[in-house]
Order: sequence, then structure tokens, then C-alpha cells
Amino acid sequence: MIKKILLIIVIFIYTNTYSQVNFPNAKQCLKELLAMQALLAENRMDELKIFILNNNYHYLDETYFCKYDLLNPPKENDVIPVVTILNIVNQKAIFHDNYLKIIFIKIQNNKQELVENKEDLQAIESIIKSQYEIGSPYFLLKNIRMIIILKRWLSKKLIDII
Amino acid sequence: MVVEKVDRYNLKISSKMTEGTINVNASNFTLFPNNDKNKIYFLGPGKAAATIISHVHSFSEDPKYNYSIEIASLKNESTEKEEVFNIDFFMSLKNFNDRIWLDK
Repeated sequence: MIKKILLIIVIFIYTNTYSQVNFPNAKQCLKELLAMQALLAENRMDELKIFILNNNYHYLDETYFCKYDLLNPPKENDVIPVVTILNIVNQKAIFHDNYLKIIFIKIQNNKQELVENKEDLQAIESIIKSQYEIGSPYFLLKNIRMIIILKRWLSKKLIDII
Repeated sequence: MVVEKVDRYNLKISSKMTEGTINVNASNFTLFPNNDKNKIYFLGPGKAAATIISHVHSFSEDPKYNYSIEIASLKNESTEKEEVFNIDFFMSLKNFNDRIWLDK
């Protein structure tokens, strides 16, 4: 817990020192993206369209949309995700047909600009990664014999990603 | 090695090899051995075996530094047994680990 708080403080300082990026709803955004992909995986396209519109995403074309809350518009330096639905080309046997690709735009001087600045992009990545609560898959904890595998993981320090 | 079960989703492990006690927590977000740190597995929800979140970096094209996220779903071999994704329930959860999707 202390480690996580320290990580958040470091990210906060980092993002405010070296880049001008705010991503105030990163956790909610990640949740929405996971929900969209789950609907895509089950081929529930009608529900996906309703979900997209109900969560303040706006279609730019049929498979391309961005988040923009008209009632609470993004402020200067706020980041907005732009989402594209694409078809899986490789490894079709193991993946569901569609996947999401997300790039980011930022409000700069009251305009929406594609984020191309390396520091800004690294800050966005850090903010998103800080939302993950990395741990062990439940099946490893459930089966006591799997603890040996878990121990190997721990020795390789794979539990902590950041 | 001593394994203490704290609760359903938390263990404490201590051994001669580990200095002190290590807390092990169940999570939907995980990494698998040998996979890179930019590929995070979300184990669930719904019929997919897992949702893979890839942080993609590209240095070769113009602009010189590109970054995007790709989110794809791994097929589950026995999807008929899996629960259909309940979007209202999923969105009502406050934290990502409020429900451990592998615990069925």
C-alpha cells in the first residue's frame, strides 16, 4: 500500500514537472475500454454502440470514436482517448476477431492536438500503468501445489511491473 | 517454505530464500512468465479467457516516437461454460479487483 502511494506521488510529481498532461478519468476510461472489448469479443455490436454513446464517446466514423463530455468538456492539457476498432490479422485462432487501438489527443490552446511529444506520451503511459493492480492469477493461490511456480515468479520479481 | 492463508485472495509466504514475508494477492491484472512488461493480462471478464492490454511503442516512423494501446481478447476454448459479460455489473464495480473473475 505504501509502495503504491509512493508510486502515485512520484508519477504526480513527474507528470507535473516534465510534461503538461492531465488524465483525470484514467481509471474510468480503462474500465470503459475493457467493457467495450468484452462486448466486442462477444460480438454484441448493438450493445457496444449504445454503451459508446451513453459514455460520452462520439463517432468520427463507424469504427472510430473519441471521448468528449459536452457537459463537462476537457480543460487545457487534458488527454482524450481516440479509439479505433480493428480486425485481428495475425493469430486469428487464439484471438477474437476485433480489437481496440487507442491513441491520445490533448487540449492545447483550446484545440485538440494529437499527442506526439515523447514526455507527454510517457506521462500518459505512466498514468495508465498506475491503474493496474498487478497480482497473481487466482488459480495460483487456489492450488497450493502451484505455490512453487508462484515462488519462481516472485524470485524473478515479475509481480512488480513498474 | 511457510504459506499462510490470510483470506481467500491473500497469502503470506516466507522461506529461507525470501527475506522476510512476501504478501501474494490475487488480482485480475497479471503478467505471465517471459512476457514483457508492456503486455498486461486482465483475466476476464465475460466469455474471453483474458483481455490483453498492450502498450505499443514505435520509434521508426514519423513522428519519431509513437505510443498507442491495443486491447484484444483471447478466445476461451469452452465459451459455452462461461458467463456472458454483464456490463452493468462490471461498470458498477468501484475497483478492478472487487470481483476476481477467475473465482467461479
